[in-house]
Amino acid sequence: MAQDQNAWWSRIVHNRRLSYTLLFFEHYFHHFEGKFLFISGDGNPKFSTQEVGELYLFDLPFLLAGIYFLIKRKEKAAFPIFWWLLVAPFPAATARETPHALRILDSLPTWQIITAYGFLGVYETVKKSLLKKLFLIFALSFLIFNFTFYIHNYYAHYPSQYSGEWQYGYKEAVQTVSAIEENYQKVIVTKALGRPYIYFLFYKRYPPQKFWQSSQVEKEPFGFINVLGFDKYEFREVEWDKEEKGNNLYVMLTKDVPSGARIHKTINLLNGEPILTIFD
Amino acid sequence: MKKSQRIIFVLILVLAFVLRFYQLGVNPPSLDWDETALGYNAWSILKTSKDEYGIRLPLTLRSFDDYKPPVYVYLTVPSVAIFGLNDFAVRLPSALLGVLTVVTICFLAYEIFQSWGVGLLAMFLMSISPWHLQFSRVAFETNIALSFTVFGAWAFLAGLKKSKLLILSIILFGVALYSYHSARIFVPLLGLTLVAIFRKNLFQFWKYCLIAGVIGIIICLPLFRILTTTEGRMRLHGVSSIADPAILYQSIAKIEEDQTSGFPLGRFVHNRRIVYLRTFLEGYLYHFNATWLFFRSDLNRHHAPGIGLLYFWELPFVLTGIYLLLKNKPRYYLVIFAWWLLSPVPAAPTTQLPHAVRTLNMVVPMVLFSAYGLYGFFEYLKNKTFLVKNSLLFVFGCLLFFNFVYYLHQYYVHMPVEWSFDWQYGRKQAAAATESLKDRYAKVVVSTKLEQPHMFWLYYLKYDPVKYLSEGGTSSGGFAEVRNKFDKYEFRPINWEKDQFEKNVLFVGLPSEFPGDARLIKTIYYLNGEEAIKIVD
Repeated sequence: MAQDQNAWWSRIVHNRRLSYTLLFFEHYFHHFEGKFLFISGDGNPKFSTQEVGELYLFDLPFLLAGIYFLIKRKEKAAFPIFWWLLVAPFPAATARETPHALRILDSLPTWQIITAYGFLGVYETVKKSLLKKLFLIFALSFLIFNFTFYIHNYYAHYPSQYSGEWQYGYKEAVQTVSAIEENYQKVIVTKALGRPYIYFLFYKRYPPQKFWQSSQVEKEPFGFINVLGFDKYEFREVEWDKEEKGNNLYVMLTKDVPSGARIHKTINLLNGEPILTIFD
Repeated sequence: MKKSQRIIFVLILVLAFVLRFYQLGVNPPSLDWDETALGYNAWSILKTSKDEYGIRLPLTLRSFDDYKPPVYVYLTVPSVAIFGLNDFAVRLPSALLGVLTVVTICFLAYEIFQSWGVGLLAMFLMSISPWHLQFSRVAFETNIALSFTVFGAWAFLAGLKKSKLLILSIILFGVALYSYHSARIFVPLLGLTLVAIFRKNLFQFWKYCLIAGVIGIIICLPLFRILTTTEGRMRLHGVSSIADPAILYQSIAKIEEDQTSGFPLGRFVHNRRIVYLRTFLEGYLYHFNATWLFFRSDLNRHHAPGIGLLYFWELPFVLTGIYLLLKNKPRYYLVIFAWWLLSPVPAAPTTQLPHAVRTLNMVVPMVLFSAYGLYGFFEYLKNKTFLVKNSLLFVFGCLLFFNFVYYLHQYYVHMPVEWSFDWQYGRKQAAAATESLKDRYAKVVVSTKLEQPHMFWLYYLKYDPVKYLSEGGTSSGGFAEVRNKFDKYEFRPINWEKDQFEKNVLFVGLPSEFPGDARLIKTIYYLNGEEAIKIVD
């Protein structure tokens, strides 16, 4: 706008409502992209194995066929299904991180309904019985391959590849700490993996009433809660040259362990990478 | 065509011409490296019949070691012969062929739909298409490849009745093969698909097909040689995503993991062919993203700010067009789908995707979908009441008008200023400045960080090709571009810590290459006011 010397017409052309609308649609259409739907899914490894899309590649041709048959045959169910599918990404489209598998979960199972309809449509269109059989054999073996590929990756590789994304290591850390904590005055835990307090509460089955009494809580600027500590636990980072000496047990990222520390245990991610170290 | 349609035809032709020739050579604000290379090589061939490396009438231009197909250069030879070596002359062949493509789309659409209505709509949409305008206003090889592909496709479809045209068709397709890298994959695929679709029709005039086939093989012969040499394949390796070994590391790690855990099918499931296929499909599917097509495009050089490859309002018409095509099955409708689905294939196994240049061919099916969708919309309006009809037309007219004006505004007002960096602005001014200063120095050193500066300097100084070749010509364009020099100019990386002690030498480079204490002679600015190039001694 500044470039147009703030002319009246410039305000219309570069209106913010217009650019918001365009931005909204841009984010909206991210949810219909091939990479997201059929190749690797949501970019966040917590929402997808990264190896298979939110749908199977098998679904692609039949999804398209389904849309075509639903419109062509003027199927009564077409309108509600399409409407459902088309409005489902609306909430997600207002946010920055798109495409977002979690926020459009509402669109299930319209994809599958349309795909099923398309599959049947194609099957009925094929006239000769030999071709029908061939079609079934090809389509089903492709589906079986897709499915195997997904399941295999999910069980054999996904846990080890992305255990870090799932905040792996806290459970073991809590168990280890619980066994030896009585020897220490304080237990200091890093927040680098995110929200350690809840893992201590959860895995120790810590009584809520006791937590309410001893917890120190502050509110972050965005309104989130930040727990600084409870009981003998402190959740903070440590600067070693400023840290007061005391009878403390530390749970820190392995890479941050100072020299001369007496190590009790190092916890590895499932891919073998060390993540947390417990020491004093 | 009716008389009224003829008038519309001429009006659209004028529109297409104006949109392609207004400020041609002025906006985009600077020639990019490839454009200057095409221009200077044409100039060199005109004066010496040799390219910058001294190769006589080359069938492939080594250029920046990207081994450019030659057609654009040869088309530019007459252009620079008439208008001299300048930005207008270099971009002229592209603009002219762009206008011709707009015209041919009308006839191509007529062959497919047998309706001048759809033909004229397609012609109109092509004339104002941001995608097609972007590349028919610059010297990009992809645009002329598109032109020859469209001409060839028209000749083929028309040739199904007038069989002599089949021979013209194969020649035009042949020219496309020598126009741009992508065409070398796309055109054969399209050609084979056309033959498959129309095999019965073609069988009737097998004599012409035989002649066309022989001509086709003759045209392709030199191409086989080009593509089997290491140099010819270099381009392929340079841009291929599948040639990158990194994509296999993960699957190799997984195979090892499966071996440790005793899963027997690891080698099958994580087979490298499956990895390749997945990478290919990922690249392929990028080109169906609505965000890319309608909103964002990709690199700045491929669109105007805030403008996609198609207009926003075209989205519903593209979808309607696809549906109506499947439903009504107009005469040659399969051609459009084949074209559409094949157009991302050349780009699919490459890096930096989606890519508007490598898939420019897709503009044709998009325009045809859109035109047929619009045609359906107008047919639908015919039976409506006066009020409904006119209010819908009014809404549509507003959308079209405002979107078009918005595009023109972004293209002519904002693009040159905001994105002069992307158009490699400033080399022209820097070259002129060094030329006027060079008498006072023994040497002028230009940093290779200016991206192939030897070509920019040759082009803007209109350095005599005879002299250039007698001094040795270009030594290398791509990976060892540090040895190029001519006259007093030397093109190499600048290392200021060492170079600052050189006496009597003028240095040209990026602002970041010189620290504050270098004696500044001149600064050249981008059109948005940021520093582009510094000249120091």
